[in-house]
Amino acid sequence: MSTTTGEEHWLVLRQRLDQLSRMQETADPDAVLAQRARQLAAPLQDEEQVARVALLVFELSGERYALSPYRVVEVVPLRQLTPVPCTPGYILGVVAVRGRLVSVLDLRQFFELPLRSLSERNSVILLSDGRMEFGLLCDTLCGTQELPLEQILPPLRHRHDSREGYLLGVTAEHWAILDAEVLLGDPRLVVNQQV
Amino acid sequence: MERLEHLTTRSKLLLSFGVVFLLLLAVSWSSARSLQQLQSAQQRLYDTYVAQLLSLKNIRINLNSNRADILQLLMSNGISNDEKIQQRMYQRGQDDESAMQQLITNNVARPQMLAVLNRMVDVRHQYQAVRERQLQAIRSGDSQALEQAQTLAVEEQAQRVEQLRSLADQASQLIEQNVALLQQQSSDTLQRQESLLLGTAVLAALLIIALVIWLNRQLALPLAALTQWAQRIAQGELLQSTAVSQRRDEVGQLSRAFYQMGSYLSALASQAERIAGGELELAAKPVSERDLLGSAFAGMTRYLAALSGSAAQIAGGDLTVVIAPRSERDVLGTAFAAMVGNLRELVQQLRSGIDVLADASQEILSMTAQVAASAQETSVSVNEISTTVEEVKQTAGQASERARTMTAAAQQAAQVGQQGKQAVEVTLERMQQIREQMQDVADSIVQLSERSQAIGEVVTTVNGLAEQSNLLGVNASIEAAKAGEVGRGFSVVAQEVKLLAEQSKQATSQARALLGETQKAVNRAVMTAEQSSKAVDKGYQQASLSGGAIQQLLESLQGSSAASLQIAAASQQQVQGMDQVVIAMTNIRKASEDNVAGTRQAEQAALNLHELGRKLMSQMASFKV
Repeated sequence: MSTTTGEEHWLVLRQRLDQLSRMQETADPDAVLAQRARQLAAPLQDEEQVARVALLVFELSGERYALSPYRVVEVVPLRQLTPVPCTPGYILGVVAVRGRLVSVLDLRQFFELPLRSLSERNSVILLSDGRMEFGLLCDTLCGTQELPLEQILPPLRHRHDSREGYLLGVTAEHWAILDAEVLLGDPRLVVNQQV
Repeated sequence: MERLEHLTTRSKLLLSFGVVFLLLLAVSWSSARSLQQLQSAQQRLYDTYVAQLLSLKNIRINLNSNRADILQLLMSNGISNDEKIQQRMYQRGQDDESAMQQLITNNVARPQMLAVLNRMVDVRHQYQAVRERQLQAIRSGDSQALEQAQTLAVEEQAQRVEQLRSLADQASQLIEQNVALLQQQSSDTLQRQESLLLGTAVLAALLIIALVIWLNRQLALPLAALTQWAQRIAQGELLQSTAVSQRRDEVGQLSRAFYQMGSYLSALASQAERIAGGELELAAKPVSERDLLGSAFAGMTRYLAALSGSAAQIAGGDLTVVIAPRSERDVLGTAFAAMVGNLRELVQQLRSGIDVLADASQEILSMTAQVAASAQETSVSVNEISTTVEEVKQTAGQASERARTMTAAAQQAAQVGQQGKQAVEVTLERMQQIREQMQDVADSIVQLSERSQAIGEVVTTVNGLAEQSNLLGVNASIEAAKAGEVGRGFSVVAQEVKLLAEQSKQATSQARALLGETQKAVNRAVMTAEQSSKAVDKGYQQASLSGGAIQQLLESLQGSSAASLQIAAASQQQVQGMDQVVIAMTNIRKASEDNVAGTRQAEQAALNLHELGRKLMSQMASFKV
C-alpha cells in the first residue's frame, strides 16, 4: 500500500464516519411513533352491512385452520412444556397458565397430519367451555378475521378423513373451520390411563 | 596184477574179504574135524576099556559075594540050608560066565589079555566044581562031609580066589595099559591139530597183511595223494598235476576228475588274473548251465565291462552316464555312482568357477588396460602440473600484491558497516512504535464489537416485546369478537396493534441482520489488525537480524583486513613452497613412468590369465553333465 493511496483511504473513511454520526442525530423515535398513531387514528371506511362471522385463524403443518373465538379463552406463548407420562402421543404435556395447569393438545398427531418440528413461534390457543379446558398447539397465529357467512361452505366429504366430525365448514381459501364444541366434548381427550 | 589194478574198488574189497572168509572157513572146518576125531576116540575108549574094567570089577565083586555066601553056609553047618542063597549064588555065577565070555570076544585081537582071561576061566571052572561039592555036602547035612567041605573052603578054595584076584588084577593092568596107549594117541592127535590150526592162522594173518598192504597201495595212497591235492586246491594252489593215473577204477576216475577240476580252476584263475590285469574283452563262457562259478565269473566280467564302459564314457567327458548300483551292497557300483555324482558336481563347480575366472580375467584385462591408459594420462598430467606449478608460483607473487591492496579496501568497508549498523538501530525504534499503535487499534475495534453485541441484546428485547404485542393484539381481537358488534371498533384497534407488532418484528430482524454484518466486519478488522501486528513483529525481527548481520559483517571485515595481511605473507611463503613442489613433481613424474611400465606387465599377465580362462572353458565344454 503506497502512502498516497493510504492517505486517500483514510480520508474516505473519515467522511463516512461523519455522515453516520449525523444520521444518528436526526433519527427521532418520538416522531415515528406519532406518525403511526396518526395512521391508526384514521376512521374505518365503507363497511358493508352483511352477515359476518369472526374466526381465529392459525397455521398447522402448512395448512390454515380457523376456530370460532367464542370458546377461546386466550392465546399464550408456549413456555416450559412439561411432558406427562402415560398419555397418548397427541397430549404433548402440560403448561402453567396464570396459576392453572392446562394440558396441550397437538392437533397434528390427533388428526394424524405430517409432523413438523416445534419452532420458536409456537403459541397455544386455550379453549374452555366451563367444564373442559385445554390448549391447542399451533405453528403460527394469524389473528382474527371476519368473513361473510356465505363464503363458508360445508366441509368436503372425504373417505377416511380423520378430521371428519370435527369440521364445521370450509372457507373459500380452504381454511378448515374446527368445531370447538365438539373438540371440548370429545371423550377421547379425557385421558385416564392407569399404569 | 594189472588186471587186478583195473578192478573197481568194490570188487577189490570183495575179493580181499572173500579170501579172508575162505581162510577162516578152512580153519574152522579143520578144527571141527579134529574135535570130532577126539570125541570118537573118547567114545571108543569108554566103550572098549571102561566097560571091560567094570565087568572085571563086577566079576571080582560077585566072586567075593559068592565066597562070603559059601562061607556063611559052611559056618552055619548046614542048619540054614537056604535055597535062596544058593539061587543067588548061581545067578551070580551065570552073570560072571556071560561077562567072561564077553570079555573074551572083545579081546580076541589081544593075545596077552586072552591068555590071562582063559586062565581065569580055567581057575573059575575049578572053583565052581569044588563049590558044587561043598554045596552037596551042605545039602547032605553030613557033618563029615561038611567038615571036609569046610577044610576045602579054607585051603583050596581060598587059593583059587586069590589066584582069580591076581588074574583080574593082571587083566586090569593090561586094560589100563591100553587106555594109556589110547590117551597117548589122543594127545598126539590134539597136538597135530594145534599145529595145523596155528599154521593156518599164521598163513591167514600173512595173507591179510599182504591184502592190507595191497589195498593200501591200491586205494589209500592214491586217495591220500588226491586229498593232499584237494587240500592244496582248497588253500588256493592250482598246480598242474603231470602224473594222471590211467587206471580205470574209481581212484583213476577221481584223479582224472581232480585233474579236470584243477584245469578248470586254473583256467578260471588265469582268466581272473587277466581280469585283474584289466583285460575284460575275453568273455568267460560257463562250461554248463550249472556252472555257477563260471556264470558268476561271466557275470562279474560283464559287470566290470559295463562299469569300465561307463568309466570310458566318463573318461571321454560324458558325465551324463547313469550308474545304478545292482544292490545296496554293490560297493563298487555305489562308489562309482558317488564318483560320477561328485565328478558331475565338481565339473559344474569348476565350470562356474571358470566362468567366474573368465569374467574376472576379462574385467582385470579391461581394468589393467584402463589403468595403463590412466597411468599414461597421469604421466601427461604430471607434466602439465609441473608447468602449472610454475605459473602458480608467479601468480602467488601477484596474489601477495593484491592482498595488500585488499587490506586497505577492507578497512574502508568496515567504516561503511558501522554507519549501516546505526541506521538499523533507528529502524528498530520506529518499528516498536508502530507495533504499539497497532495494538491500540485492535483494542478499539474489540470495544466496538462489544458495543454492537449490546445493541444486539437490545434488539432481542425489542423482538420479544413485539412478539408479546402480537399476542396481545390477537387476544384483544378475540375479546373483541366475543363482544360482537360492540367490540367492533376495538377489534380494528387490536388489528392495528397486531400489525404494528409485526412491523416491529420485521424491523428488529433487519436490525439483527445489520448487526450480524457489523460483527463480521469487526471480526475482519480485528484479524487484519492482528496480521498487521504480526507483520510488524516480523519486520522488527528481520531488522534485528539485519543489525546482527551488519555487526557480523563489520567483524568479518575487520577479520578479513587482518587475514589479507596474513595472505600477503602466506603468498610469499607459497612462492617458496612452489619451488619444493616442482622438485616433488619431478619425482612423481619418474614414479608415474615406472607405473606405466608396471601396468604394461600387469596387462600382459592379465592377458595370459584371460587366455588360460578361455582354454579352461573350452576344455570344460568337453564335459557333458
